[in-house]
Amino acid sequence: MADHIVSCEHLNDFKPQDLSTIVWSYAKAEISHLDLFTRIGDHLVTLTHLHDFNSQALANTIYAYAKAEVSHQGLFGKVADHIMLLDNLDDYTEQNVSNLAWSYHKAGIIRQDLNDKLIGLAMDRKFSTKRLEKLDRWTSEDTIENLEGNEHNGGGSVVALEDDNNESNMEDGGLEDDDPDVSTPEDLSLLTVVQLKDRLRKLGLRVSGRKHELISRLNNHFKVQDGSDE
Amino acid sequence: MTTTTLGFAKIIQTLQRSKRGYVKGSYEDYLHGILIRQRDEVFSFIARTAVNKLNLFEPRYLKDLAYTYALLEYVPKQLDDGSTLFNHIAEKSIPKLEKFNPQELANTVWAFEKIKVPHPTLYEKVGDYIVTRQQLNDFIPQNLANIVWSYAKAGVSHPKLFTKVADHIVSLEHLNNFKPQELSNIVWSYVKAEVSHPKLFTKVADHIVSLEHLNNFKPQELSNIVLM
Repeated sequence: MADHIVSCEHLNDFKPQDLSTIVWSYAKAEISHLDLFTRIGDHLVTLTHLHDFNSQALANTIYAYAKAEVSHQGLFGKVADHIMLLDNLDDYTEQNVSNLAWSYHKAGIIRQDLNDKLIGLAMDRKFSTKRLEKLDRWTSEDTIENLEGNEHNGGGSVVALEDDNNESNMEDGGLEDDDPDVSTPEDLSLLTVVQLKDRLRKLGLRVSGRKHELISRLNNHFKVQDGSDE
Repeated sequence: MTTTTLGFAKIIQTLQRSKRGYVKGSYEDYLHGILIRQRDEVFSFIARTAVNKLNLFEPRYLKDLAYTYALLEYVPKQLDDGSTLFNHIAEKSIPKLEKFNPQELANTVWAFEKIKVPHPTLYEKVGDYIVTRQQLNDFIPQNLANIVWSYAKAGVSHPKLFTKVADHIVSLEHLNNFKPQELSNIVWSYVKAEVSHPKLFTKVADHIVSLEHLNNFKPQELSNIVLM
């Protein structure tokens, strides 16, 4: 409990990239954790804006919710609104556009304005015919209506529409182009004395002494029992 | 020697962070001139010189040397005999892995990945060594995250290592010491490495879900609960 007070974090500490990577990973690992998706979705909806999300993080986030079959209306709405407000979608790759269209389609959320914008972009950028055909299917209102009709009849066309190709297409996108970077391993000498003392305090160690003493106290704390360090 | 080299690397990092130019003749301009414009020459020289002395290097100096090049993302050129500095660092490190502390192990595999000089044998041996350890209590969250990230990113498979690390994380009382980036890199690494460990994912998710609840408590309120 005491530790928890010291390092008490909340979702605000998570950067867009962290949140996007987390939901993407759970969706990809096919581990369902509705509470996690709901919590993160709710958190994103409460943000004043999504400007800190780059195109890849947004596409991956939305893709994750669709793949995990967690329909979070608020999140899908917020992301669509955000994209609609953007002056240009220059940062959006063909894969991002495709993933977004597929995700809204898969989640059964129709945003015709977003669809029009994505299709417009695809035409401008001269996406491949194959990609355009898919986009057209995912963004066509008719298709969705048919799909819903069939659902009422207990038909299986929902599955039929989501052919294997679509899924594997998504897999290409994933996070490949935007792997998370890892933080540079700790080099304590780069920290300031104030930062070092803060670390020591959190570990319940003494905070007095010169900088090199603080560093060696921290190092000693994490030293292997049989280590060769001094 | 590694201390000096690491010092050079840090100066270069600092100089590179500044996007503005430097006043001609200033201290920064001078350092920029010798360290950045002649960087290749300096670091090639260091690589050539270090190779002959690596036998004398303790683990932390081996790690520092690799770490220096990784910080700069500078791949040392091939030496005259066709080998590279990183080959030599790996060869000298492998026989003494049991003398490496967790941070040295983590930083070493991180450096090899960062600089994109894959050395599967080093990764295999480091993984094997970590797996044989009784427990991982002396690994801090950053070490754990850096290790699995390095293997996943390098595409080196070591399922036993991943299982050992995950079992350790699951066994922890809580994940409060893990930074957001460490948590996200860890789950990403397991997906990327295709190692399934549902308990790890549940633990991480439960932790994140619990954060916002805690956010509703002010530290004072929490301490009151403890006192009651």
